[in-house]
Amino acid sequence: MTRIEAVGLSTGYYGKEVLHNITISIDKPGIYVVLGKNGAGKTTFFRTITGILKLYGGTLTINGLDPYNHPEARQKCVYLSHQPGVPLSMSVREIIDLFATLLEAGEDEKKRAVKMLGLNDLMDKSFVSLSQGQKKRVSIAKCLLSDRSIYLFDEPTSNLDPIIASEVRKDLVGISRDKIVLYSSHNLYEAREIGKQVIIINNGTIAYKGDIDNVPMGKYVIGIRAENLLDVFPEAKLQGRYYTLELDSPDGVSAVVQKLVAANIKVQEIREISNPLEDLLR
Amino acid sequence: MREGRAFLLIGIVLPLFLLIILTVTGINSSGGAGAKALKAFSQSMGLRDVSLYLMVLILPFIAPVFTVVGTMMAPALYSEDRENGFFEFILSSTKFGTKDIFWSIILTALIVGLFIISITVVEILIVVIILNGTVPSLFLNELLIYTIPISIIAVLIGTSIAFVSQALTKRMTFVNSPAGLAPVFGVIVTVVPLFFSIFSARGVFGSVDFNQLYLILGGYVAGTLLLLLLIFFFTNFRMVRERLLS
Repeated sequence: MTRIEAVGLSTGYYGKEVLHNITISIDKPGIYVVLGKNGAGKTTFFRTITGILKLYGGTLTINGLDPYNHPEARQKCVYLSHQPGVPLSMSVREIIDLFATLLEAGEDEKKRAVKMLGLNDLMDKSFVSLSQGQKKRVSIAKCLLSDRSIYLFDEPTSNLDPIIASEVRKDLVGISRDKIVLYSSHNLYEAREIGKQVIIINNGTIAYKGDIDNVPMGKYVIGIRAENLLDVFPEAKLQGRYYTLELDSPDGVSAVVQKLVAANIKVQEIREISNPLEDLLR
Repeated sequence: MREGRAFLLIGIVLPLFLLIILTVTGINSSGGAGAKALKAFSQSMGLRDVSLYLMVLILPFIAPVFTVVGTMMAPALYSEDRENGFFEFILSSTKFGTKDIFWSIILTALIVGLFIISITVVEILIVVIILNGTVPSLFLNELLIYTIPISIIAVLIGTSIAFVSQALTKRMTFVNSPAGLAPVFGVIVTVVPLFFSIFSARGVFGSVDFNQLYLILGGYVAGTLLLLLLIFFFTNFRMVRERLLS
C-alpha cells in the first residue's frame, strides 16, 4: 500500500509561499480529483508531491520518505505537467523509446501504452507536426510506460477532443483500481464524471477533501446576445442584455453554438454567467 | 533544436569560410612594394606565400571563438527542453536530479566542442599542406599549445559558469540565460591569453620567448581548470530544482 502524508506543509517558489499549512493523507487507491481555479495551487501541490519543490515548513512523505531528498520516493510517482515534457525535435517512436529507457520500461509496456493512446499510426511522425490533441496523447503515453503507484495528471484532457478525452478518462479509471491517481481539473462536471474523491484547493489551502457527492452542484449558466434566440431556445430567460441558458456542463456550449449556426442566427456574444466551481469557492 | 543545429553549422562553416578568404587574400596580394615585403617576410619564416602567413597569424587564435559559438547548441537545447517541461518530467519521475541534468549538458557541450575543433584543425591542416607541402612547426605549435586547449577550456568554463549561474540566481529573461552567458564567458576565456600575448610582444612582461609563452598558456589552462573545479566544489550542492521549471 502506498501512502502520501502531508502535515502542515507549506511551499512555493523563490521564497514566496504558494501553499499554506496543508495537512492531508491519501492511502487508498482511486482517482482523487484536485479541483481549483487557475492559480489556486494545484500544480504547486503536484510539484511538491513529486519532490521538485522544497518545503518551507511542515512535512511530506511517500511511504515515510521525503520525496525531495529520496529519489526512491520520487520513483513511485509519474507526473504529467501542462507542458508536453518531451524533446520537440524527436519522432513519436524516438520519444517512446527515450522515455522507456528513462523509466526502465520494456517492450511490452511500450506496446501497451502505444495501443492504449492509439499512437500506432503516429509513430514515425515528428512531434511538432502533430495536432494539440495528438501531442497530449503522446505526453500521456510516456507516463503510462512505467508501472508506478502514484500517477499525477495536471489537466490531462485539456486540448483533447471529447471522444479521446473520454477514452483517456476511462483509461485513468482503469489504472486507479489499484493505484493512486491525482487528477487536476477546474471542471467540476469532469470531476464528477471520473472521481469519487475530491480535493478542493483555494488560495493555497485545502478547502475541502472528501466525497464528491457531498459537493453542491449548481447549473452552468451562459449568457447569449443574439437576435431571434427564442426561436431556437424558447426556454432562455432575458436577464439584462443577455438571454441566459442553463446547461449541465461547459461541454454543452458547443451544442448550443451548433444549433444557433444551423438556425442561421446572428450571435453577437456568448459569455459565462455562472460557474458552479467558482460559486463554490466564493 | 533548430537553433542548436544552426549554431553547430556556424561553428563548423565559419572557420572554412575564413580559410577561403585568407587564401584568396594572400593570392591577390601579389603586387606593390608592401605585398612584396610581406611575401619576403613570409618566406623568411619558412612559409611559401602570404596566405599561409595570414593563416598562421589569424586562424589558430580565432578558431576557439568559433568553437564556443558552435557549442551554444548545448545551452540552446537546454533552454528549449526547459520551456517544454522535459526537465520537470525528469526531476519528478526519474532517479535523475539537477546535477545529472547540468553535467549531461556540460558533457554535451564538451563533446560538440571537441567535434568542432577537430573538424576545424583538420580543415586548416589540409589547406596548409596543399599550399605549403608541409605544416610549419610554428603553426603546429600554435594549434597544439593554444587552439586546442583553449577551445576545450573555453567551452567548459563558458557552459559551466552559465549553468552554475542559472542554478544559483533567479531567472531573468535576457539577463542570465545560459544560452547568452555561455558564449560570453567562453569568448572571454579565449580573449584573455591573446591580451597576454600582445602585452608580451610589447615587452610589458619583458622579453618573452616561446618557452615562456608556453608556460604562460599552460599556466592559464591549468588555472582555468582549477577555477572550474572550485566553482563546482562550492556550488554543487546548491542547485535548486525550481530553476529548471518552465
